[in-house]
Amino acid sequence: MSLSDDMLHEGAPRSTTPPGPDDRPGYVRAYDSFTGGLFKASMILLLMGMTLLIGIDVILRFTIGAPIRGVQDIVSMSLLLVFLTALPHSWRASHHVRMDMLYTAMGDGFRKAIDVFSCLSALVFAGMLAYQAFQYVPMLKNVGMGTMLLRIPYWPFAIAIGVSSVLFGIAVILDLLMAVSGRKTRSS
Amino acid sequence: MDPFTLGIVGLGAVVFLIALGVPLAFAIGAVAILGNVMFFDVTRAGVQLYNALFTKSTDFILASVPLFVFMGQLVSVGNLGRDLYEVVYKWFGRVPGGLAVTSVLTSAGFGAVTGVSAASVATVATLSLPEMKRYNYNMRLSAGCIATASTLAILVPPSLLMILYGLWTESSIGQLFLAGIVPAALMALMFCTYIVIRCTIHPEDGPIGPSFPLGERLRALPNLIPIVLLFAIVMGGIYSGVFTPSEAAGAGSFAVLVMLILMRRLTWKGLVDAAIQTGRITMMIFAIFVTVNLFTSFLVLTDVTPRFVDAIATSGLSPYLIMMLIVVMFLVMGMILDPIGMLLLSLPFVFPLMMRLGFDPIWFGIVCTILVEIALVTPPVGFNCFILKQVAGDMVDLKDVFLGTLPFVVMSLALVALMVAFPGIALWLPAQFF
Repeated sequence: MSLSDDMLHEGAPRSTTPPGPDDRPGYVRAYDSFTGGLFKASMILLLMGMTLLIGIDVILRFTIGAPIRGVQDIVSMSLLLVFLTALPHSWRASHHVRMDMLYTAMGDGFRKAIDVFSCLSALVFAGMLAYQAFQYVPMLKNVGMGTMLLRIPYWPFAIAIGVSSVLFGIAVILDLLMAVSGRKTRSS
Repeated sequence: MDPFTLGIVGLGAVVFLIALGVPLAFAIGAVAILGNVMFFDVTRAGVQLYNALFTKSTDFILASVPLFVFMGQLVSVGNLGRDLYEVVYKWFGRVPGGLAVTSVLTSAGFGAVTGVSAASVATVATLSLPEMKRYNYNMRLSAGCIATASTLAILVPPSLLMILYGLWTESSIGQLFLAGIVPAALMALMFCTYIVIRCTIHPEDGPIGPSFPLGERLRALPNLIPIVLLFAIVMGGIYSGVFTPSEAAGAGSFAVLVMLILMRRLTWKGLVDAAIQTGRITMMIFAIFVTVNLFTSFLVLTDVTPRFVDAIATSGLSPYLIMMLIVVMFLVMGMILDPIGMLLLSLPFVFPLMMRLGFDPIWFGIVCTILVEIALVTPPVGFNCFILKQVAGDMVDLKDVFLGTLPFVVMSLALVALMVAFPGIALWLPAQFF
């Protein structure tokens, strides 16, 4: 299992190995910086928002018996946004866990082939999701589907799913180009 | 191709792609999408994918995953684990193998406020290993006990693994949390007893530490208040019916934030780090959760799961032999897969089988959690051992870390055997509340 995927190791110290030279082209660096910034900002905002909302709701419910209306709706949709804003950054930042025993033991050619295949799998995922999400937007808008209590409309979230998938797809394509050209420097 | 063959080919393809090193979520996702395209058509496959993502990612109960992880991260950046360690050390440091006993008890306590073991192993190893080295402890024992005891964090509630198990199997997360308490206490007791006996027989393995005056020990106790309070809020809230598990996670995170602000331990950097790490873990879990969900529907459609369950259940094998084979399967999977991937990939098959054989879902959830714990310390991918080695540097070899976990792994397996013989170990406490 790849230890570079430190998602399970939240308390673990980072590797002390100095990073190699950054040979990302400027546009890749800019894209990584954009998706990384989006990830960072939205995680702080959404997690803090969900925490404060639930915390205050619980306090109000417990003390004066007056909960905030529709907390579940807001938190549920925030949860979707957590996933969507993390998705584009996740590929280039190696947040996805892989079993790398065979991968690391094999030569460069094998690894390149697996990287290309992984990219293609991710592209299929992104493409189908984006297509379906944009397909759904008019229908969701016409029917007026939304959350149970606050009736928050679903269609903007379908657009968000589509946009997130497209951004994710771009990240995968950049990674594919880097893999093919032999430059694998990742964003942090 | 008939549906069943399609399902079997799909299953084989997933295993093959994962073994090659394709990221889990996308190996599973690619096969599930392709399988659905072949079973239905492209449009329907797209609908299935969208629905799997939308329904899972907006499920309020799943909010407990990022929020419990966030709570654990805040506890970690707020150094509440250090406080706990210092109190436990003052009380238990003077028994034979006192530092090792302290590590076990701290890990169990740390588990009460964080659901992932990695935070525990990093914190306890950072505090404990240099002291153990200084007192000439047997480093194999030291490393093994810290790496394994840290896995108690996922058995002591609240536990991320139990939440995922509960969500997947639609079992009560509240009951699972309660069911983990007695086995966790028993495991901690087994570990401590082993350490004390071993260090009494071989004092050179773990010399007795310094004794602290009663006054100093009593004065240290208030440092436990934040952790006790947090545990009381989360667990008390769930069992008094005030919170759902997701609300408990949110209230717990809120409480840690308030505590850290009051203790002047919350920094902007700490908050950002906690949020980023939470985002990473959540992303990884959600991606696997969504794609495994899609893949499971595909397996059910192709009749693979029902036929698999039928074939084993009607094979005439004793349920306990099947249970033993599942334990062996988990041990093997644990050697090559990450814990969450292992749990989510195996549950679609083993859970219906275990239910068909008449085992209790809550009991099985605890057994699964212990087996995942073992996977965290077994070579070649034992996560906790690698984290510990990173912390330890030259203090201990990786080989010694793995060898050191052996006696503790044997004890963990003994606990599984005990739970098979006496299911009440896990089921007694939930029965008192539900």
